[in-house]
Amino acid sequence: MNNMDFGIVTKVKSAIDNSEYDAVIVFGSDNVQYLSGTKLPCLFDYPERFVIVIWSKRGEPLIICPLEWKTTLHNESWLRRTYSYNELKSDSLKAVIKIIADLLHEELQGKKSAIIGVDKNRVPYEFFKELMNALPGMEIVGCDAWLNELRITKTQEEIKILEDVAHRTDHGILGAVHHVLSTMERPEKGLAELIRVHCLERNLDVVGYHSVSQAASGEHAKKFWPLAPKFGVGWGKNLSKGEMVRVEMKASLDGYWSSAARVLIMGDPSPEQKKAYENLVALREAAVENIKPGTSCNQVFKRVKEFAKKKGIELISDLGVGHGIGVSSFEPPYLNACDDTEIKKDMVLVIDPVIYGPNQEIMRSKDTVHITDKECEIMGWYKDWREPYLASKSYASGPG
Amino acid sequence: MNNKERKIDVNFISTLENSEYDAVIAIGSENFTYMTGTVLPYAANYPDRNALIVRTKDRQDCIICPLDWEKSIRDQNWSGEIRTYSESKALPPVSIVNSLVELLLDLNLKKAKIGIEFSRVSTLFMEVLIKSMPKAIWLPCDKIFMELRLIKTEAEIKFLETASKQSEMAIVGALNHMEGSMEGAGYTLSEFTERLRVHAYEAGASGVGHLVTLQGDDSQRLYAPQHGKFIAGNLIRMIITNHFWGYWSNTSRMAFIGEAKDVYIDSYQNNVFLKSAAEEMLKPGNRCDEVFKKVKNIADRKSIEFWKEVGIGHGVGLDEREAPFLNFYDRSILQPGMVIVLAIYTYGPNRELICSKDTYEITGDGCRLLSWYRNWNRFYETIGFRSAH
Repeated sequence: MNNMDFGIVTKVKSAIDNSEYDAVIVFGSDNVQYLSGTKLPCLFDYPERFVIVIWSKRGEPLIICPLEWKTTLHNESWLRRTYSYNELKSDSLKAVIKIIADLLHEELQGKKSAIIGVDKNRVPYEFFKELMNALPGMEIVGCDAWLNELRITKTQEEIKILEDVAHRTDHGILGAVHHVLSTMERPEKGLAELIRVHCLERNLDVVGYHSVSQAASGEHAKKFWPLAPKFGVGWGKNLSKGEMVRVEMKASLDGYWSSAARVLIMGDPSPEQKKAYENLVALREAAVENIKPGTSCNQVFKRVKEFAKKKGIELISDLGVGHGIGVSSFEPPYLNACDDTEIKKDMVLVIDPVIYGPNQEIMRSKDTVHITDKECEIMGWYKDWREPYLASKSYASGPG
Repeated sequence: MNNKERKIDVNFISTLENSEYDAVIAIGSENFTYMTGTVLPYAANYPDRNALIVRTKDRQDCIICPLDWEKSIRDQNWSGEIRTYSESKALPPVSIVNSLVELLLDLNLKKAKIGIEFSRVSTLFMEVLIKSMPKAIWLPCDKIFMELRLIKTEAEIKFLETASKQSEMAIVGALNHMEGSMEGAGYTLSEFTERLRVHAYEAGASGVGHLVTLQGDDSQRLYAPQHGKFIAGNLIRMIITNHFWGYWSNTSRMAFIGEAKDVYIDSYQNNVFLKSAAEEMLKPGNRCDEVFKKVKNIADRKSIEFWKEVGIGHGVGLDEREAPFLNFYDRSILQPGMVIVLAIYTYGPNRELICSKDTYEITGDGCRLLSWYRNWNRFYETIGFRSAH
């Protein structure tokens, strides 16, 4: 194992030693990436090409993948034991199950009964049923909560890279909107491309199918995903003076993600726009004030929701007000009504209250926060987002 | 796009009517697209968020999805029922399962035989579902989708042709911009790759998937994170997958930085030669394994080394890579309406993986190339200087 593992290896080793599991078998692309460090961008989009990590109490962890990906994953992963299966031989599911059974037998040194943790919220039902048949005598239990617990509290190295990726993304967005003038005709597509290019220029890995930028204005801004199925690209509509534009970007760096959204106003804001942005800021501040060790995610949600109600702000509450971020751009814990996860030091969350603008635009300004000993700190701001970005009339008049 | 345009419904309705299922549920994002004609926003990348569609034998349809996906489904001409679930009510997957149970009870399916994709749905999802509806009989229905999707309708083939042409235009367009790499400061690989993406969109793609450019030693691998600038004398492999309304291309092309020496040209020609041999075998009635074996025999005879273990091609459709598979084991028979990507990996002088993928429709008496925008019997050499771009 190399030293570029963000402190994960030591953490997982210790966690598994202290767990009830003799071994865990992990299938979800996000969980596999977390445990192995693989960053194959297409991993999520090939559900039938199983990549699996087995991590036992006794042996060295290992990764199993299709033969075609073996060299790639061996070089990408910090796990040093790579096994492959030939998915072209008859039934790849059975081939994988056999490898798992054989390797597990080896790992458990012939032990006939053991507790095996599996990420049941990811493993396909068909696979799980076969696995049960292939491992008689083993107690196969869900380990999703254990994995979540591991993933939601970050190591110092993870926090550092999440701050870095958040900052570069914010900088990328700023770099792009600096090119926008309220008097200039620029299509949404052009701005979306500028955001991506500026993120690339800041050495972000703009890879992964969902690593997309959006620039939604006017009617388009009323939708989360305008002009489907292009979702964020390919629109010819020009940004118009006075409009509120929602700019978004998802990017990664060494497999760790940012999820950014900001508000750009084309010129001086109208009083209604100003008020709407102030509402957004107020919700952010309410969230920041309440996110601290010892409280729970649903308490934060409840307080932000109550705050919104008190202030007469229409919050789109079905989506919650934020979520975790790490090796995926949207992950537990969730700041919503049902997640009672206790907030702990070194979690990294994205605060994302969503409200409507004066013309029913969907407004969001996402902030990445790090939970410290007593509170939470916003990280990654390149600009002070207590104000929106205002597009100026000319470059000479300076950015807003 | 809707199902009438794709003519999927006729096939699906008849299959469902003649099946044992009272209803089927598609939860995998590609089968969701197959049944609804709509594409979800990067659903595979959000494993804690699901959308699904239920269709009953008596032709009732309903989609269940997160709140923020609803409008995008409507915008893609879905006129049926949609129910959104609140992610704030229960943790994944309980919230969507609760909505599904409510829907199934509304449809009087409490004790019905219900097909669901066992290869896609998570174990936890099924455990919660079975517990909530213990009297229903849950059956796998993956085979229905696999078999139906194997043979494409005319409209689907048109979509696939469009998608593969978009990839081609992306590659050729980006390469055209790269002229000058020899003499100027040169492009970084990531800048070039971004141009692939931009050109795919300019050609009308609905979305871009896998995207990477590899050169030199990195191209010995299937994938490696890209870094650095193009270097004269290197063979490069460009990979792009993009979709047109959910129908995918799967493209890989080769280029050379500068004027290629014979040893590179010859190694590329080996690839072209094997592909031509495979192309001749793409006919209705031929078995996939026979196509593979024929190519292997020819390669052995000519002493052309290729990466046998990964096969020489596969189907393409709502997945970038799907059945049938041209390999040693797949005994599927090629039939008109199948769409196949030939993907043969041979080796360059420094063990670079050479792969120039092409997409074909299996026709009544042979095959039709869907993917060329330029003649790929020779790889692209970037030479000279271009002051523009």
